[in-house]
Amino acid sequence: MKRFNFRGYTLLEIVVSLGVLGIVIVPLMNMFVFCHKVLSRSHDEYESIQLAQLYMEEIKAMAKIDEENYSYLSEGNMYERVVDNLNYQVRICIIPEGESGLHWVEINVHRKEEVVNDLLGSVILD
Amino acid sequence: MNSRGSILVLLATVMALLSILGATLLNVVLLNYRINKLNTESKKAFYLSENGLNESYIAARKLINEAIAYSLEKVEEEMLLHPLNEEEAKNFFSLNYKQYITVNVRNEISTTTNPAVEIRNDIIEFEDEELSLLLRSTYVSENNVVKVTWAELLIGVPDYILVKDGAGTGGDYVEFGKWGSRED
Repeated sequence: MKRFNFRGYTLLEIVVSLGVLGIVIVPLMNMFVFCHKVLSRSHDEYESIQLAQLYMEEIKAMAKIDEENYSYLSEGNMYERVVDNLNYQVRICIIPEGESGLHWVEINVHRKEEVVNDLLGSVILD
Repeated sequence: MNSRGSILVLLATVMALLSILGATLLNVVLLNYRINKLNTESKKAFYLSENGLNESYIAARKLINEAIAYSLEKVEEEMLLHPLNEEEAKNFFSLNYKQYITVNVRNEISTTTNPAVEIRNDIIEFEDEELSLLLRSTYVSENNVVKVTWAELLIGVPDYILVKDGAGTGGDYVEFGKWGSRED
């Protein structure tokens, strides 16, 4: 006994529905691609600030400037260190403020020449 | 059963499901991005707020150096009028030093810039040859993320004999006590 009388879709129905679906799918796919980009940027944001904080805390724990790792640059009157960590290049600058003992710490996290994040702080070193 | 037009219903259902899925994903992703951005801003604000405390420490050093110079001068002036023995000179120096610090410390250490540093003590006075100051540094970022840090700054009284001979500077008589992001 035949219970259903389903005869399928016509070619016209399929063509029209594929057309409509295509029109809707394009912006939706764009949105998914956009979501992926934002998520990747968000991941970079988190990872890079964690990295910057790691080096900031390392400097804050120093009793004096670690001259093995930080080289003195006479042009800028500052100490500099460049480290490659994870997929980032971290540039750390310790800039003394006169003779007061206060030093500014500037950390820039780069990825492929682009600055992803930066962190500014200060430390007292004699 | 007439199934004419059912593909339209199916199409509408698929589109609705995809749109809901897309909108939810977009929402979650943007929320995640905002959370990470705020986390970054909060960390940046924290270090800039701590910078306020460091600057106060440097200001305290400068104030101590000024207080030492002022008190030594006062002792010398006094000695021209009345000769003082070592103990009397020591006490006179200490008295002037404490007075200079307590009068000027609020003006020298507090700032109204960003970060703003405030001395939270109601009364500023030396106890057992030490002045304990409770400092609060507040930094407000561009997007109104507020970060507050606290520190206890301890200022001591220099030994008259030592400073008279030029030994000891401001940095030897000031140190941080408790330090943190809460008042207690």
